[in-house]
Amino acid sequence: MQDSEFAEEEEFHVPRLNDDDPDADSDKELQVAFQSGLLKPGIFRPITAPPPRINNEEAIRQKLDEIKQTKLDWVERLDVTVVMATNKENVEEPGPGIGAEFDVHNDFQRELAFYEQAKESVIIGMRKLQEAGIKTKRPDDYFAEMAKKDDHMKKVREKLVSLQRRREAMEKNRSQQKMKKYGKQVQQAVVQERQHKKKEMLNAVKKFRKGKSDKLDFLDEAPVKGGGGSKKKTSQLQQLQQQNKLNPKRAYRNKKYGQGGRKKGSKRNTKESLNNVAGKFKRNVHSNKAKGGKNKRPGKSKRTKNKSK
Amino acid sequence: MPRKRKLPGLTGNLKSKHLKLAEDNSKEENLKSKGKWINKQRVLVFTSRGIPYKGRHLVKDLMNLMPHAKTEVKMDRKSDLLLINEICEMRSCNKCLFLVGKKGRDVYMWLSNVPHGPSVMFYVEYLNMMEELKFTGNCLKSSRPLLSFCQKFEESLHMQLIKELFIQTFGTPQYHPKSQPFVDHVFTFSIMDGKIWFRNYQIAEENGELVEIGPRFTLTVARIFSGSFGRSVMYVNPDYKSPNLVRHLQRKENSDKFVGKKAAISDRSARKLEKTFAVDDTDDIFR
Repeated sequence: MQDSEFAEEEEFHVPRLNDDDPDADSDKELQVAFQSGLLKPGIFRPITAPPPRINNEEAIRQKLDEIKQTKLDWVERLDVTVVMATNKENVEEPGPGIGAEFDVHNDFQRELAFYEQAKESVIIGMRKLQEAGIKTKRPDDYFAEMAKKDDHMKKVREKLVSLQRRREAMEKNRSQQKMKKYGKQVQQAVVQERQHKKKEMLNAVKKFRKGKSDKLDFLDEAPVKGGGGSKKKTSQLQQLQQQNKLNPKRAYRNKKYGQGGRKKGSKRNTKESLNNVAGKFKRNVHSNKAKGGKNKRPGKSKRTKNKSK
Repeated sequence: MPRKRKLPGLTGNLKSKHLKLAEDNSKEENLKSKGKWINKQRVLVFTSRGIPYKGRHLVKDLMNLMPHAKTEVKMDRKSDLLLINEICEMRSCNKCLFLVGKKGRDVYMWLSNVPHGPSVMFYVEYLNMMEELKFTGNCLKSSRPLLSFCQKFEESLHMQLIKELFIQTFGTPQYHPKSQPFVDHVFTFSIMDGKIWFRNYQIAEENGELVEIGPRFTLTVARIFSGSFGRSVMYVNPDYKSPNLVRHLQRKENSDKFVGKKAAISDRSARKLEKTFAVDDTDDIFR
Protein backbone atom coordinates (compact mmCIF):
# COMPACT_ATOMS: atom_id res chain seq x y z
CA MET A 1 0.00 0.00 0.00
CA GLN A 2 1.22 3.45 -0.77
CA ASP A 3 0.48 4.71 2.68
CA SER A 4 2.96 2.43 4.38
CA GLU A 5 5.65 3.41 1.88
CA PHE A 6 5.26 7.07 2.72
CA ALA A 7 5.39 6.32 6.41
CA GLU A 8 8.71 4.60 5.98
CA GLU A 9 10.16 7.44 3.95
CA GLU A 10 9.14 9.93 6.55
CA GLU A 11 11.13 8.13 9.21
CA PHE A 12 14.38 8.17 7.30
CA HIS A 13 14.19 11.39 5.31
CA VAL A 14 13.89 14.75 6.95
CA PRO A 15 12.83 17.54 4.60
CA ARG A 16 15.29 20.39 4.41
CA LEU A 17 13.52 23.49 3.20
CA ASN A 18 16.34 26.00 3.34
CA ASP A 19 18.80 23.92 1.41
CA ASP A 20 20.96 25.11 -1.44
CA ASP A 21 20.57 21.74 -3.01
CA PRO A 22 20.16 22.16 -6.79
CA ASP A 23 17.48 19.48 -6.97
CA ALA A 24 15.70 20.57 -3.85
CA ASP A 25 12.38 19.51 -5.30
CA SER A 26 13.35 15.88 -5.61
CA ASP A 27 10.72 13.19 -5.67
CA LYS A 28 11.20 12.31 -2.01
CA GLU A 29 10.78 15.91 -0.96
CA LEU A 30 7.62 16.13 -2.97
CA GLN A 31 6.24 12.96 -1.42
CA VAL A 32 6.93 14.25 2.06
CA ALA A 33 5.43 17.59 1.31
CA PHE A 34 2.35 15.90 -0.07
CA GLN A 35 2.03 13.73 3.00
CA SER A 36 2.22 16.70 5.30
CA GLY A 37 -0.48 18.44 3.32
CA LEU A 38 1.55 21.18 1.73
CA LEU A 39 0.70 19.98 -1.76
CA LYS A 40 -2.83 19.29 -2.93
CA PRO A 41 -3.81 16.54 -5.39
CA GLY A 42 -4.10 17.55 -8.98
CA ILE A 43 -2.03 18.49 -11.93
CA PHE A 44 1.22 20.32 -11.52
CA ARG A 45 2.77 22.13 -14.41
CA PRO A 46 5.79 24.36 -14.59
CA ILE A 47 5.04 28.05 -14.34
CA THR A 48 6.09 29.82 -17.53
CA ALA A 49 7.81 33.12 -17.05
CA PRO A 50 5.37 36.05 -17.27
CA PRO A 51 5.69 38.31 -20.33
CA PRO A 52 8.31 40.99 -19.98
CA ARG A 53 7.04 44.31 -18.66
CA ILE A 54 8.58 47.06 -20.70
CA ASN A 55 7.76 50.71 -20.28
CA ASN A 56 10.59 52.70 -21.77
CA GLU A 57 9.36 56.15 -20.84
CA GLU A 58 12.41 57.95 -22.11
CA ALA A 59 12.09 56.48 -25.58
CA ILE A 60 8.36 57.18 -25.61
CA ARG A 61 8.95 60.79 -24.65
CA GLN A 62 11.55 61.15 -27.35
CA LYS A 63 9.23 59.77 -30.00
CA LEU A 64 6.38 61.93 -28.79
CA ASP A 65 8.52 65.03 -29.17
CA GLU A 66 9.51 63.89 -32.64
CA ILE A 67 5.98 63.50 -33.96
CA LYS A 68 4.34 66.39 -32.13
CA GLN A 69 2.89 69.04 -34.39
CA THR A 70 3.87 72.16 -32.53
CA LYS A 71 3.47 74.60 -35.40
CA LEU A 72 -0.19 73.84 -36.07
CA ASP A 73 -3.14 75.74 -34.64
CA TRP A 74 -5.96 74.05 -32.86
CA VAL A 75 -8.11 74.56 -35.93
CA GLU A 76 -5.97 72.17 -37.95
CA ARG A 77 -6.33 69.39 -35.43
CA LEU A 78 -9.75 69.85 -33.77
CA ASP A 79 -9.06 67.82 -30.66
CA VAL A 80 -10.93 68.29 -27.39
CA THR A 81 -10.11 66.62 -24.08
CA VAL A 82 -12.95 66.05 -21.66
CA VAL A 83 -13.26 64.51 -18.22
CA MET A 84 -15.72 61.64 -18.33
CA ALA A 85 -18.66 61.76 -15.96
CA THR A 86 -17.64 58.49 -14.36
CA ASN A 87 -14.22 59.85 -13.50
CA LYS A 88 -15.20 63.17 -12.01
CA GLU A 89 -14.38 63.19 -8.33
CA ASN A 90 -16.12 66.35 -7.30
CA VAL A 91 -19.36 65.57 -9.02
CA GLU A 92 -22.31 65.82 -6.68
CA GLU A 93 -24.84 64.33 -8.97
CA PRO A 94 -23.42 62.10 -11.62
CA GLY A 95 -25.22 62.19 -14.93
CA PRO A 96 -28.49 60.35 -15.35
CA GLY A 97 -28.06 56.62 -15.45
CA ILE A 98 -24.46 56.66 -14.25
CA GLY A 99 -24.51 55.36 -10.72
CA ALA A 100 -21.75 55.01 -8.17
CA GLU A 101 -20.93 51.50 -9.34
CA PHE A 102 -20.07 51.86 -12.97
CA ASP A 103 -20.01 48.58 -14.81
CA VAL A 104 -18.34 48.28 -18.20
CA HIS A 105 -20.57 45.39 -19.11
CA ASN A 106 -23.75 47.37 -18.54
CA ASP A 107 -24.34 48.41 -22.15
CA PHE A 108 -26.72 51.21 -21.43
CA GLN A 109 -24.50 52.87 -18.81
CA ARG A 110 -21.45 52.53 -20.97
CA GLU A 111 -23.01 54.00 -24.09
CA LEU A 112 -24.50 56.77 -21.99
CA ALA A 113 -21.04 57.62 -20.65
CA PHE A 114 -19.67 57.86 -24.19
CA TYR A 115 -22.62 59.98 -25.24
CA GLU A 116 -22.07 62.36 -22.34
CA GLN A 117 -18.40 62.70 -23.18
CA ALA A 118 -19.19 63.42 -26.82
CA LYS A 119 -21.85 65.94 -25.82
CA GLU A 120 -19.51 67.86 -23.54
CA SER A 121 -16.78 67.95 -26.14
CA VAL A 122 -19.27 69.13 -28.77
CA ILE A 123 -20.32 72.04 -26.58
CA ILE A 124 -16.70 73.03 -26.03
CA GLY A 125 -15.81 72.41 -29.67
CA MET A 126 -18.71 74.42 -31.05
CA ARG A 127 -17.64 77.45 -29.08
CA LYS A 128 -14.08 77.19 -30.31
CA LEU A 129 -15.18 76.64 -33.90
CA GLN A 130 -17.44 79.65 -33.85
CA GLU A 131 -14.55 81.73 -32.56
CA ALA A 132 -12.38 80.41 -35.37
CA GLY A 133 -15.09 81.06 -37.93
CA ILE A 134 -15.67 77.51 -39.11
CA LYS A 135 -19.21 76.58 -39.99
CA THR A 136 -20.83 73.64 -38.34
CA LYS A 137 -24.30 73.78 -39.85
CA ARG A 138 -24.65 73.21 -43.52
CA PRO A 139 -27.23 75.29 -45.40
CA ASP A 140 -30.37 73.57 -46.63
CA ASP A 141 -29.55 74.04 -50.30
CA TYR A 142 -26.13 72.49 -49.94
CA PHE A 143 -26.27 69.09 -51.58
CA ALA A 144 -23.30 66.86 -51.16
CA GLU A 145 -22.55 63.20 -50.94
CA MET A 146 -23.34 61.71 -47.59
CA ALA A 147 -21.48 58.90 -45.87
CA LYS A 148 -24.54 56.66 -46.03
CA LYS A 149 -26.52 56.39 -49.22
CA ASP A 150 -30.14 57.46 -49.46
CA ASP A 151 -31.29 53.85 -49.91
CA HIS A 152 -29.62 52.90 -46.68
CA MET A 153 -31.22 55.76 -44.78
CA LYS A 154 -34.57 54.70 -46.19
CA LYS A 155 -34.03 51.21 -44.77
CA VAL A 156 -33.09 52.70 -41.40
CA ARG A 157 -36.21 54.83 -41.35
CA GLU A 158 -38.38 51.86 -42.27
CA LYS A 159 -36.90 49.84 -39.45
CA LEU A 160 -37.61 52.59 -36.93
CA VAL A 161 -41.17 52.92 -38.18
CA SER A 162 -41.75 49.19 -37.98
CA LEU A 163 -40.39 49.11 -34.42
CA GLN A 164 -42.75 51.85 -33.40
CA ARG A 165 -45.68 50.15 -35.09
CA ARG A 166 -44.89 46.92 -33.27
CA ARG A 167 -44.80 48.71 -29.95
CA GLU A 168 -48.12 50.41 -30.63
CA ALA A 169 -49.71 47.14 -31.70
CA MET A 170 -48.59 45.49 -28.46
CA GLU A 171 -50.08 48.25 -26.37
CA LYS A 172 -53.29 48.18 -28.35
CA ASN A 173 -53.56 44.42 -27.88
CA ARG A 174 -53.04 44.75 -24.16
CA SER A 175 -55.73 47.38 -23.75
CA GLN A 176 -58.11 45.45 -26.00
CA GLN A 177 -57.69 42.33 -23.90
CA LYS A 178 -58.50 44.29 -20.78
CA MET A 179 -61.57 45.78 -22.37
CA LYS A 180 -62.70 42.39 -23.58
CA LYS A 181 -62.45 40.94 -20.10
CA TYR A 182 -64.30 43.85 -18.60
CA GLY A 183 -66.85 43.80 -21.39
CA LYS A 184 -67.62 40.15 -20.77
CA GLN A 185 -68.24 40.81 -17.08
CA VAL A 186 -70.48 43.71 -17.93
CA GLN A 187 -72.44 41.62 -20.41
CA GLN A 188 -73.03 38.89 -17.83
CA ALA A 189 -74.14 41.42 -15.27
CA VAL A 190 -76.56 43.06 -17.71
CA VAL A 191 -78.12 39.75 -18.66
CA GLN A 192 -78.52 38.78 -15.04
CA GLU A 193 -80.12 42.10 -14.21
CA ARG A 194 -82.55 41.77 -17.06
CA GLN A 195 -83.62 38.35 -15.88
CA HIS A 196 -83.92 39.55 -12.31
CA LYS A 197 -86.13 42.47 -13.32
CA LYS A 198 -88.30 40.27 -15.44
CA LYS A 199 -88.75 37.87 -12.59
CA GLU A 200 -89.69 40.64 -10.21
CA MET A 201 -92.13 42.07 -12.69
CA LEU A 202 -93.83 38.73 -13.14
CA ASN A 203 -94.01 38.22 -9.37
CA ALA A 204 -95.52 41.65 -8.86
CA VAL A 205 -98.09 40.97 -11.57
CA LYS A 206 -98.95 37.64 -9.99
CA LYS A 207 -99.37 39.30 -6.62
CA PHE A 208 -101.65 41.92 -8.07
CA ARG A 209 -103.67 39.31 -9.90
CA LYS A 210 -104.05 37.24 -6.79
CA GLY A 211 -105.13 40.31 -5.02
CA LYS A 212 -102.36 40.45 -2.46
CA SER A 213 -101.44 43.94 -3.35
CA ASP A 214 -103.54 46.60 -4.96
CA LYS A 215 -100.86 49.02 -5.94
CA LEU A 216 -99.79 49.32 -9.51
CA ASP A 217 -96.44 50.69 -8.55
CA PHE A 218 -94.54 48.17 -10.53
CA LEU A 219 -95.74 49.68 -13.77
CA ASP A 220 -94.10 52.96 -12.96
CA GLU A 221 -90.47 53.47 -13.64
CA ALA A 222 -87.91 52.65 -11.01
CA PRO A 223 -87.99 55.18 -8.16
CA VAL A 224 -85.35 57.84 -8.10
CA LYS A 225 -82.37 57.20 -5.99
CA GLY A 226 -82.94 59.71 -3.25
CA GLY A 227 -82.95 60.10 0.48
CA GLY A 228 -79.91 59.71 2.61
CA GLY A 229 -79.36 56.52 4.38
CA SER A 230 -81.17 54.30 1.94
CA LYS A 231 -79.10 51.23 1.94
CA LYS A 232 -80.25 50.18 -1.44
CA LYS A 233 -78.14 47.48 -2.89
CA THR A 234 -76.57 48.92 -5.96
CA SER A 235 -77.02 46.49 -8.75
CA GLN A 236 -74.27 44.16 -9.62
CA LEU A 237 -73.63 46.01 -12.84
CA GLN A 238 -73.33 49.32 -11.10
CA GLN A 239 -70.99 47.84 -8.53
CA LEU A 240 -68.83 46.44 -11.30
CA GLN A 241 -68.75 49.76 -13.08
CA GLN A 242 -67.74 51.53 -9.93
CA GLN A 243 -65.04 49.04 -9.12
CA ASN A 244 -63.47 49.17 -12.51
CA LYS A 245 -63.26 52.91 -12.47
CA LEU A 246 -61.39 52.93 -9.22
CA ASN A 247 -57.95 51.78 -8.39
CA PRO A 248 -58.27 48.25 -7.02
CA LYS A 249 -56.67 49.48 -3.83
CA ARG A 250 -59.22 52.25 -3.64
CA ALA A 251 -62.01 49.75 -4.32
CA TYR A 252 -60.77 47.51 -1.52
CA ARG A 253 -60.61 50.37 0.90
CA ASN A 254 -64.10 51.43 -0.08
CA LYS A 255 -65.36 47.96 0.61
CA LYS A 256 -63.63 47.87 3.95
CA TYR A 257 -64.38 51.33 5.28
CA GLY A 258 -67.19 52.60 3.08
CA GLN A 259 -70.88 52.62 4.06
CA GLY A 260 -70.16 52.65 7.77
CA GLY A 261 -67.38 50.10 7.62
CA ARG A 262 -67.54 46.37 7.77
CA LYS A 263 -69.70 44.74 10.31
CA LYS A 264 -68.45 43.11 13.48
CA GLY A 265 -66.84 39.80 13.26
CA SER A 266 -64.53 40.69 10.41
CA LYS A 267 -61.64 38.80 11.95
CA ARG A 268 -62.43 35.16 11.73
CA ASN A 269 -60.23 32.17 11.31
CA THR A 270 -62.07 30.73 8.35
CA LYS A 271 -61.12 29.31 5.01
CA GLU A 272 -61.44 32.72 3.40
CA SER A 273 -59.20 34.44 5.90
CA LEU A 274 -56.67 31.66 5.51
CA ASN A 275 -56.71 32.06 1.74
CA ASN A 276 -56.31 35.79 1.97
CA VAL A 277 -53.26 35.71 4.19
CA ALA A 278 -50.79 36.23 1.31
CA GLY A 279 -51.93 39.63 0.22
CA LYS A 280 -55.09 41.52 0.00
CA PHE A 281 -54.57 42.58 -3.56
CA LYS A 282 -53.48 39.28 -4.90
CA ARG A 283 -55.88 37.31 -6.95
CA ASN A 284 -57.55 34.68 -4.84
CA VAL A 285 -57.84 31.50 -6.84
CA HIS A 286 -60.02 29.50 -4.54
CA SER A 287 -62.16 32.17 -3.05
CA ASN A 288 -65.87 32.20 -3.84
CA LYS A 289 -65.91 35.92 -3.38
CA ALA A 290 -64.01 36.43 -6.60
CA LYS A 291 -67.19 36.62 -8.59
CA GLY A 292 -69.31 37.89 -5.76
CA GLY A 293 -71.07 35.18 -3.79
CA LYS A 294 -74.31 35.53 -5.61
CA ASN A 295 -72.97 36.01 -9.05
CA LYS A 296 -71.85 32.50 -9.64
CA ARG A 297 -72.26 31.39 -13.19
CA PRO A 298 -75.48 29.43 -13.41
CA GLY A 299 -75.39 25.80 -14.59
CA LYS A 300 -75.84 24.57 -18.16
CA SER A 301 -79.52 23.76 -17.94
CA LYS A 302 -80.36 27.14 -16.48
CA ARG A 303 -78.29 28.87 -19.11
CA THR A 304 -79.98 27.06 -21.99
CA LYS A 305 -83.36 27.89 -20.48
CA ASN A 306 -82.48 31.51 -20.16
CA LYS A 307 -80.86 31.68 -23.55
CA SER A 308 -84.13 32.08 -25.34
CA LYS A 309 -85.17 34.77 -22.93
CA MET B 1 -21.08 55.59 -89.44
CA PRO B 2 -17.67 56.01 -87.87
CA ARG B 3 -17.19 54.27 -84.59
CA LYS B 4 -17.09 56.51 -81.57
CA ARG B 5 -13.60 56.52 -80.13
CA LYS B 6 -13.19 56.52 -76.41
CA LEU B 7 -11.28 59.57 -75.30
CA PRO B 8 -8.10 58.57 -73.54
CA GLY B 9 -7.97 59.28 -69.84
CA LEU B 10 -11.72 59.45 -69.42
CA THR B 11 -12.56 55.81 -68.92
CA GLY B 12 -15.03 54.70 -66.27
CA ASN B 13 -13.71 55.46 -62.81
CA LEU B 14 -11.42 58.24 -63.73
CA LYS B 15 -14.29 60.15 -65.30
CA SER B 16 -16.33 60.07 -62.14
CA LYS B 17 -13.27 60.98 -60.09
CA HIS B 18 -12.67 64.03 -62.24
CA LEU B 19 -16.30 65.04 -62.00
CA LYS B 20 -16.31 64.62 -58.27
CA LEU B 21 -13.24 66.78 -57.82
CA ALA B 22 -14.81 69.39 -60.03
CA GLU B 23 -17.96 69.32 -57.94
CA ASP B 24 -16.03 69.71 -54.74
CA ASN B 25 -14.01 72.55 -56.14
CA SER B 26 -17.12 74.43 -57.19
CA LYS B 27 -18.59 73.99 -53.74
CA GLU B 28 -15.35 75.20 -52.25
CA GLU B 29 -15.62 78.31 -54.37
CA ASN B 30 -19.11 78.96 -53.11
CA LEU B 31 -17.84 79.08 -49.57
CA LYS B 32 -14.86 81.27 -49.15
CA SER B 33 -12.69 78.56 -47.65
CA LYS B 34 -9.81 78.97 -49.99
CA GLY B 35 -7.16 78.21 -47.50
CA LYS B 36 -3.86 76.54 -47.91
CA TRP B 37 -3.53 72.89 -47.06
CA ILE B 38 -0.58 72.72 -44.70
CA ASN B 39 -1.11 69.60 -42.63
CA LYS B 40 -0.21 66.94 -45.15
CA GLN B 41 -1.39 63.67 -43.74
CA ARG B 42 -2.09 60.70 -45.95
CA VAL B 43 -3.20 57.43 -44.42
CA LEU B 44 -2.92 54.06 -46.06
CA VAL B 45 -5.70 51.75 -44.85
CA PHE B 46 -5.55 48.13 -45.89
CA THR B 47 -5.72 44.58 -44.59
CA SER B 48 -3.92 41.30 -44.72
CA ARG B 49 -5.43 38.21 -46.24
CA GLY B 50 -7.66 36.08 -44.08
CA ILE B 51 -9.54 38.95 -42.49
CA PRO B 52 -13.17 38.36 -41.44
CA TYR B 53 -15.96 40.34 -43.05
CA LYS B 54 -16.16 42.84 -40.21
CA GLY B 55 -12.56 43.86 -40.82
CA ARG B 56 -13.24 44.44 -44.48
CA HIS B 57 -16.25 46.57 -43.66
CA LEU B 58 -14.25 48.57 -41.19
CA VAL B 59 -11.79 49.44 -43.95
CA LYS B 60 -14.68 50.42 -46.19
CA ASP B 61 -16.16 52.62 -43.47
CA LEU B 62 -12.84 54.30 -42.73
CA MET B 63 -12.29 55.03 -46.41
CA ASN B 64 -15.76 56.51 -46.46
CA LEU B 65 -15.18 58.78 -43.50
CA MET B 66 -11.59 59.84 -44.11
CA PRO B 67 -10.95 61.70 -47.35
CA HIS B 68 -7.23 61.67 -46.69
CA ALA B 69 -7.09 57.88 -46.78
CA LYS B 70 -6.04 55.52 -49.54
CA THR B 71 -6.45 51.80 -49.79
CA GLU B 72 -4.35 48.98 -51.15
CA VAL B 73 -4.84 45.38 -52.13
CA LYS B 74 -4.64 42.74 -49.43
CA MET B 75 -1.15 41.87 -48.36
CA ASP B 76 0.02 38.35 -47.83
CA ARG B 77 0.48 37.53 -44.18
CA LYS B 78 3.63 35.59 -44.80
CA SER B 79 5.56 38.62 -46.05
CA ASP B 80 7.56 40.79 -43.73
CA LEU B 81 5.82 43.70 -42.06
CA LEU B 82 8.67 46.00 -43.03
CA LEU B 83 7.43 45.66 -46.61
CA ILE B 84 4.54 47.90 -45.62
CA ASN B 85 6.94 50.80 -45.19
CA GLU B 86 7.90 50.48 -48.82
CA ILE B 87 4.29 50.25 -49.96
CA CYS B 88 3.51 53.43 -48.03
CA GLU B 89 6.45 55.20 -49.59
CA MET B 90 5.24 54.23 -53.06
CA ARG B 91 1.79 55.62 -52.33
CA SER B 92 3.36 58.64 -50.60
CA CYS B 93 1.52 58.04 -47.35
CA ASN B 94 2.90 59.05 -44.00
CA LYS B 95 0.51 57.10 -41.78
CA CYS B 96 -0.68 53.54 -41.99
CA LEU B 97 -3.61 51.61 -40.57
CA PHE B 98 -3.00 47.94 -41.21
CA LEU B 99 -5.60 45.37 -40.16
CA VAL B 100 -4.53 41.79 -39.67
CA GLY B 101 -6.94 38.91 -39.50
CA LYS B 102 -5.90 35.67 -37.85
CA LYS B 103 -7.77 32.38 -37.66
CA GLY B 104 -10.68 33.97 -39.44
CA ARG B 105 -11.90 35.64 -36.26
CA ASP B 106 -9.25 37.74 -34.50
CA VAL B 107 -8.59 41.22 -35.85
CA TYR B 108 -5.50 43.18 -34.93
CA MET B 109 -4.78 46.76 -35.95
CA TRP B 110 -1.39 48.34 -36.55
CA LEU B 111 -1.23 52.12 -36.44
CA SER B 112 2.05 53.53 -37.59
CA ASN B 113 3.77 56.75 -38.46
CA VAL B 114 5.53 55.45 -41.48
CA PRO B 115 9.04 56.51 -42.17
CA HIS B 116 10.68 56.60 -38.73
CA GLY B 117 8.00 57.10 -36.19
CA PRO B 118 6.45 54.90 -33.55
CA SER B 119 3.92 52.19 -34.27
CA VAL B 120 1.30 50.59 -32.09
CA MET B 121 -0.35 47.22 -32.30
CA PHE B 122 -3.89 46.85 -31.00
CA TYR B 123 -6.29 43.98 -30.60
CA VAL B 124 -9.70 44.93 -32.00
CA GLU B 125 -12.93 43.78 -30.40
CA TYR B 126 -16.64 44.55 -30.55
CA LEU B 127 -16.57 45.62 -34.19
CA ASN B 128 -19.81 47.06 -35.51
CA MET B 129 -20.11 48.31 -39.06
CA MET B 130 -21.63 51.57 -40.19
CA GLU B 131 -24.07 49.57 -42.28
CA GLU B 132 -25.93 48.15 -39.29
CA LEU B 133 -29.46 49.46 -39.06
CA LYS B 134 -29.18 50.38 -35.40
CA PHE B 135 -26.98 53.34 -36.32
CA THR B 136 -29.41 55.98 -37.45
CA GLY B 137 -27.13 59.00 -37.93
CA ASN B 138 -25.58 60.25 -41.14
CA CYS B 139 -22.93 62.79 -42.01
CA LEU B 140 -21.30 64.38 -45.00
CA LYS B 141 -18.96 62.02 -46.70
CA SER B 142 -15.72 63.91 -46.32
CA SER B 143 -16.45 66.36 -43.57
CA ARG B 144 -13.94 67.05 -40.86
CA PRO B 145 -14.50 65.33 -37.54
CA LEU B 146 -14.21 66.83 -34.10
CA LEU B 147 -11.98 64.55 -32.04
CA SER B 148 -12.97 64.00 -28.44
CA PHE B 149 -10.63 62.38 -25.95
CA CYS B 150 -11.17 61.23 -22.42
CA GLN B 151 -9.03 62.81 -19.70
CA LYS B 152 -7.38 59.45 -19.05
CA PHE B 153 -5.29 59.89 -22.18
CA GLU B 154 -3.24 62.47 -20.33
CA GLU B 155 -2.54 60.28 -17.37
CA SER B 156 0.18 58.09 -18.83
CA LEU B 157 2.93 58.76 -21.33
CA HIS B 158 2.17 55.93 -23.71
CA MET B 159 -1.47 57.05 -23.90
CA GLN B 160 -0.33 60.55 -24.81
CA LEU B 161 1.67 59.08 -27.65
CA ILE B 162 -1.34 57.09 -28.82
CA LYS B 163 -3.53 60.17 -28.59
CA GLU B 164 -1.13 62.13 -30.77
CA LEU B 165 -1.14 59.34 -33.35
CA PHE B 166 -4.95 59.26 -33.33
CA ILE B 167 -5.21 63.00 -33.88
CA GLN B 168 -2.83 62.87 -36.81
CA THR B 169 -4.41 59.79 -38.37
CA PHE B 170 -8.14 60.20 -37.82
CA GLY B 171 -8.32 63.96 -38.03
CA THR B 172 -8.98 65.28 -41.54
CA PRO B 173 -6.51 68.00 -42.42
CA GLN B 174 -7.95 71.44 -42.96
CA TYR B 175 -8.41 72.55 -46.57
CA HIS B 176 -7.78 69.06 -47.86
CA PRO B 177 -9.01 69.17 -51.49
CA LYS B 178 -11.51 66.37 -50.97
CA SER B 179 -12.81 67.54 -47.63
CA GLN B 180 -16.02 69.42 -46.90
CA PRO B 181 -15.61 72.55 -44.83
CA PHE B 182 -18.25 71.68 -42.24
CA VAL B 183 -17.72 69.94 -38.94
CA ASP B 184 -20.76 67.76 -38.47
CA HIS B 185 -19.60 64.67 -36.67
CA VAL B 186 -17.44 63.79 -33.70
CA PHE B 187 -15.09 60.85 -33.11
CA THR B 188 -15.03 59.81 -29.46
CA PHE B 189 -12.09 57.98 -27.93
CA SER B 190 -12.65 56.88 -24.33
CA ILE B 191 -10.62 54.74 -22.01
CA MET B 192 -12.63 52.27 -20.00
CA ASP B 193 -11.49 49.06 -18.37
CA GLY B 194 -8.02 49.56 -19.86
CA LYS B 195 -9.36 49.58 -23.42
CA ILE B 196 -9.90 52.36 -25.95
CA TRP B 197 -13.49 52.62 -27.13
CA PHE B 198 -14.25 54.39 -30.42
CA ARG B 199 -17.62 55.93 -31.27
CA ASN B 200 -18.75 58.18 -34.10
CA TYR B 201 -21.68 60.56 -33.51
CA GLN B 202 -23.48 62.98 -35.81
CA ILE B 203 -23.95 66.46 -34.39
CA ALA B 204 -27.67 66.85 -34.94
CA GLU B 205 -28.12 70.07 -33.00
CA GLU B 206 -25.78 72.80 -31.89
CA ASN B 207 -26.75 72.25 -28.27
CA GLY B 208 -25.13 68.83 -28.26
CA GLU B 209 -27.80 66.43 -29.46
CA LEU B 210 -26.08 63.46 -31.02
CA VAL B 211 -27.03 60.44 -33.08
CA GLU B 212 -24.69 57.56 -33.57
CA ILE B 213 -23.36 56.95 -37.08
CA GLY B 214 -20.98 54.08 -36.54
CA PRO B 215 -18.62 52.25 -36.90
CA ARG B 216 -17.80 51.09 -33.42
CA PHE B 217 -14.77 49.28 -32.19
CA THR B 218 -12.70 48.67 -29.08
CA LEU B 219 -8.91 48.61 -29.07
CA THR B 220 -6.64 46.97 -26.53
CA VAL B 221 -3.04 48.17 -26.70
CA ALA B 222 -0.70 45.23 -27.09
CA ARG B 223 2.69 46.73 -27.83
CA ILE B 224 4.28 49.99 -28.86
CA PHE B 225 7.34 49.88 -31.09
CA SER B 226 9.86 52.60 -31.63
CA GLY B 227 10.12 52.03 -35.38
CA SER B 228 7.46 51.64 -38.01
CA PHE B 229 6.36 48.00 -37.89
CA GLY B 230 9.43 46.90 -36.05
CA ARG B 231 12.55 47.87 -34.17
CA SER B 232 12.66 47.91 -30.40
CA VAL B 233 9.70 47.55 -28.11
CA MET B 234 8.96 50.66 -26.09
CA TYR B 235 5.90 49.51 -24.20
CA VAL B 236 4.21 46.21 -23.42
CA ASN B 237 0.74 46.23 -21.97
CA PRO B 238 0.82 43.98 -18.89
CA ASP B 239 -2.94 43.43 -18.98
CA TYR B 240 -3.05 42.33 -22.58
CA LYS B 241 -3.57 38.63 -23.21
CA SER B 242 -3.71 37.52 -26.80
CA PRO B 243 -7.05 35.94 -27.68
CA ASN B 244 -5.23 32.75 -28.55
CA LEU B 245 -3.74 32.54 -25.09
CA VAL B 246 -7.11 33.20 -23.51
CA ARG B 247 -8.72 30.37 -25.47
CA HIS B 248 -5.77 28.10 -24.70
CA LEU B 249 -6.01 28.75 -20.96
CA GLN B 250 -9.74 28.17 -21.00
CA ARG B 251 -9.33 24.81 -22.67
CA LYS B 252 -6.54 23.84 -20.27
CA GLU B 253 -8.74 24.78 -17.36
CA ASN B 254 -11.51 22.56 -18.61
CA SER B 255 -9.11 19.66 -19.12
CA ASP B 256 -7.60 20.32 -15.71
CA LYS B 257 -10.99 19.92 -14.12
CA PHE B 258 -11.45 16.47 -15.61
CA VAL B 259 -7.96 15.22 -14.90
CA GLY B 260 -8.02 16.72 -11.44
CA LYS B 261 -11.28 14.96 -10.71
CA LYS B 262 -9.82 11.66 -11.82
CA ALA B 263 -6.75 12.20 -9.67
CA ALA B 264 -8.93 13.04 -6.68
CA ILE B 265 -10.98 9.88 -7.14
CA SER B 266 -7.92 7.64 -7.33
CA ASP B 267 -6.47 9.49 -4.38
CA ARG B 268 -9.56 8.90 -2.31
CA SER B 269 -9.57 5.21 -3.06
CA ALA B 270 -5.93 5.09 -1.98
CA ARG B 271 -6.66 6.86 1.28
CA LYS B 272 -9.78 4.87 2.03
CA LEU B 273 -9.37 2.36 4.82
CA GLU B 274 -10.91 -1.07 4.66
CA LYS B 275 -12.42 -0.75 8.06
CA THR B 276 -13.73 2.65 9.11
CA PHE B 277 -14.83 1.58 12.53
CA ALA B 278 -12.75 -0.65 14.74
CA VAL B 279 -15.11 -3.52 15.13
CA ASP B 280 -14.04 -6.98 15.99
CA ASP B 281 -16.00 -9.50 13.93
CA THR B 282 -15.81 -12.04 16.72
CA ASP B 283 -17.86 -9.74 19.00
CA ASP B 284 -20.97 -11.05 17.30
CA ILE B 285 -20.29 -14.55 18.42
CA PHE B 286 -18.71 -14.00 21.80
CA ARG B 287 -20.00 -11.43 24.21
